[in-house]
Amino acid sequence: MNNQDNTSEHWEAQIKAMLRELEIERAPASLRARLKRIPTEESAGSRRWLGMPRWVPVGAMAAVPLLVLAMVMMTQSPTVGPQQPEYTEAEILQARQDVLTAFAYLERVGERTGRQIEDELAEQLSSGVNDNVARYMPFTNQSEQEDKS
Amino acid sequence: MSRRFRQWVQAYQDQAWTLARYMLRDPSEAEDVCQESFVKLWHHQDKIEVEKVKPWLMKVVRNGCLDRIRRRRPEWELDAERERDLAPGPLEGLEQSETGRDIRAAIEGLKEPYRSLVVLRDVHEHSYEEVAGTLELSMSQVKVYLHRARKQLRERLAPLRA
Repeated sequence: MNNQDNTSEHWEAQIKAMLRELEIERAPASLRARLKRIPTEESAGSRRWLGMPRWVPVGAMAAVPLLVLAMVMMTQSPTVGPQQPEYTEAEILQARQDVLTAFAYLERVGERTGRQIEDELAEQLSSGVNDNVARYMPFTNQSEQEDKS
Repeated sequence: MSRRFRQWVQAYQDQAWTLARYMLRDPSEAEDVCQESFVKLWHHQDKIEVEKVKPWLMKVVRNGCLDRIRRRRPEWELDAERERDLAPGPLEGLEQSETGRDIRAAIEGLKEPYRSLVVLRDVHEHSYEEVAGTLELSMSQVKVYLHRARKQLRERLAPLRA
């Protein structure tokens, strides 16, 4: 029995020694290179506006002149009806379509901005951004009324 | 910030790699998990106390490995047949004794958390506190589980005694 205990202890000591000898494996060169690039890549990724890629605010900025132009075209004449000498019906329809497209884009940007703000700042700041932009533009309602009249 | 991060990469990349390899065995998956873990460290480095970076990082690596294992097959950890499908384990190709290879295979055959315990404590020689932090166990749990892990290891290696 004594011999058996000693053998068992010896065996356990052997296992422990073997475990200690198992070296920590060196990371392969490919992994080392990938890890080395992390600061550069992640720093470049952080150059965004509220975490969004740059094309989002750039696109939103591009939509603004389009929106302004459409608004000018639609509001330039005080009276609406068959007698609008400057613009044809097709041009007015196109302008309205452009406005709707711009609004849809801005709304998408606004939703995305709201999510980003919600994630990164505080929930309280997001509600204003998520509101429907078109609600605050009276002339779209005016257009609908003009169509019905 | 970058310099501090690079120091951490230098200090822990080998350990992260070894742990991921023991857990996943697939070298490309182990690389992916290591990179993802260090990216998380990059983004969270200001929130982690310096002395807790090592256990934090090992925990992220381990959790990443477990996620991958679960995605492979839910019963991965319970399936004894998986060992036949696995790629050669860590340190393959290096000059090692046959007994060393048997021990590595025995470690890789352990279930979680025993495998991680043996790798972190007996191979990486992390302190008990660090192991507890990595595995989110209490100190007493670490000691109890480690005892069971070593017992399982002994049983697996018992044929070598002959």
